[in-house]
Amino acid sequence: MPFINTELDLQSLPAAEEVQLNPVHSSYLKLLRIEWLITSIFLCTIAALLIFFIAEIRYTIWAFIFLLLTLLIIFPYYFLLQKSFPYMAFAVRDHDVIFQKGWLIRSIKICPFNRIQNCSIQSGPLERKWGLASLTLYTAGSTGADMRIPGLKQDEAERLRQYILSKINGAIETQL
Amino acid sequence: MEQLKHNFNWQKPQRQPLAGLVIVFIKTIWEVLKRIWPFILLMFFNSKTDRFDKVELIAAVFAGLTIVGSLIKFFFFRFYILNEELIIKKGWLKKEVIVVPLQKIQTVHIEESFLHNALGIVKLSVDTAGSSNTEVTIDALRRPMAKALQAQLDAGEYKGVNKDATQTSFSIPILTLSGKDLLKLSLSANHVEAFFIMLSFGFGIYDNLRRINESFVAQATGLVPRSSFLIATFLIGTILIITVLISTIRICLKFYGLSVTHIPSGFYIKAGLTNVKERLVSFQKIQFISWRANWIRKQLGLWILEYKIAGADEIKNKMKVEVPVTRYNYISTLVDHYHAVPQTEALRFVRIHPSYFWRRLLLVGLLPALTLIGVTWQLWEHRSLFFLALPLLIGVKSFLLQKRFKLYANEDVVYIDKSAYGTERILLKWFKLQSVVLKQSLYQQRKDLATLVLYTAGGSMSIPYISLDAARQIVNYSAYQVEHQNRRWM
Repeated sequence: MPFINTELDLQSLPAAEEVQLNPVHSSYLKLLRIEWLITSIFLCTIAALLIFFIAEIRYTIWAFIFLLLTLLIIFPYYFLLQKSFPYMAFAVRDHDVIFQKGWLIRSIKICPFNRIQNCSIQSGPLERKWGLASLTLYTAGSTGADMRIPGLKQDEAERLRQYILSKINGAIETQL
Repeated sequence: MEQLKHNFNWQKPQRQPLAGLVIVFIKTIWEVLKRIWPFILLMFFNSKTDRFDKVELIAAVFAGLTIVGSLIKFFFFRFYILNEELIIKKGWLKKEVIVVPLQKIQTVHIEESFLHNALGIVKLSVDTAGSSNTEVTIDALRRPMAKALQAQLDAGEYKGVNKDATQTSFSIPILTLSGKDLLKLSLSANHVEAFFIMLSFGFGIYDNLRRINESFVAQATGLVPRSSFLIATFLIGTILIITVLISTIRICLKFYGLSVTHIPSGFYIKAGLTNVKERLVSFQKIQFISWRANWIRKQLGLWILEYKIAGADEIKNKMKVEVPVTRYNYISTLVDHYHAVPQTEALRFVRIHPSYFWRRLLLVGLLPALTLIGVTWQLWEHRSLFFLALPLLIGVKSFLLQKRFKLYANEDVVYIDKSAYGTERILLKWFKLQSVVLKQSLYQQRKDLATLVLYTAGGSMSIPYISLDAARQIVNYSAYQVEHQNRRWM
């Protein structure tokens, strides 16, 4: 039941939810797993150091709680990562970019080209290993309004950036 | 008319007037004191002369260097306008040039403290749409010069229009605040929140004092009633009076002598007693408008209206543009230039789903409270049960919000009526949106519900637990509104 009181037929508007989204590159999952491994090793080391050096907690319930907490972070993290990866997908339409992510909380963000201020490509050492890059679109909106699309092939990211930049410039020229 | 008398050549680098040195000096001393107070404390308590000398020397050298540094900064500070850009040059050894395109300037504020007033100067700050470190501040300027610069900077976006004409062709006073209004406004402020902060502070001090020196407390409490119940009542009473006094004074200082004037390009707002703030809010740059009242203020018909300008988000709290309104019908005067408040009778509206109350109570109220009780039980025993106040507060708030929330929309604007303990209303033009996010938790996916977050350059707003259909319509319609016409949003 449409609630917006307008002449426009709401059903005829392009529907973002019907757009076929492109999944991000599959090697990005490998990268996420390696990130998980590094974080896990780091957390375990901290827990071990705490138990080793603080004699007061060594044989108490606190040592057990520390271990439990560490495991409670590590395993659900892996589970969530596996579950959410398939939902990470994006689409570029004529006038905007759509990005979807998350399993526990699924979110779909839309960034119109004529609101994008700038866009940049980042790629860390691990990303470079698999030829991956992330594309970030900056808007003038408050914190959280920017969009980061990870797991793109480097040449794909560059092509997208060029395309978006041309769209932004076009938008500035025709501004009313 | 002031700026007509003074013709400044903005293309020539300008410097701050010498009177500004006093401001710079005091500001620096304050900064130095903030950093070296532990040294001073050490000097004060340390009677051994040999260490005293060293500490004193370090502190003196540090203070001296800082003062010299800020003097250098003052003398090498230049600003000018060239090719539609405001250019600031600072520094001597490490030179810095800040370039702000006039089009990117959101608002220009003029501030005047007691000290500024005595020296006949003002402080001018320029708010841009970027992050807080792109802010530009000129600490000292003669008033006519500041006025002229403000006019010049604000006129930057009206190229082709006679710049003087945009400022002086007409100005209509809209709103002033009488002494009685000011008092009503101050007394009706949210004292409860301030009270709890002061209360915890007060009990904290009491507790610390007791630990430090039992006898001191014994002496001090000799002055007040004996039993602990009476002490608590006395303490709470005192804190209550202090809180009300402090927030009353704070609001009086902030809104004293408020005046809102309508000029062609926007509103000119001036207020303050010790620190007079003047800002020019350009219509073009308003992203959205909200007006709110707590329960008491709503009964008295007092509202605080806030213009949400690009860049003035949480970080730049001091840049907020707030106007107290003493009658609800004044709001339309202040809002109409942006967009008229829609007549809601004829409009359908979107509501929050009833499950919002249960979910919030469970996830944000009960779950954290029970965890906290579990963790602190060993230490505090039955006193841990105080955490149960959290689900109570969250529960009542979510219940009221769920019952009262209404979102209306027509082809131009979104209008949100959002009330829990107090009331807040938000008016947003579709095309001012920057991006939109639709979120669904697993539960929401099962129940066909969604939470929407609307991002603008002046802040974001969340619309929780509405039907998925309505959320999708809002997303698609907002995308259409932003994209089908390429309108300037600032």
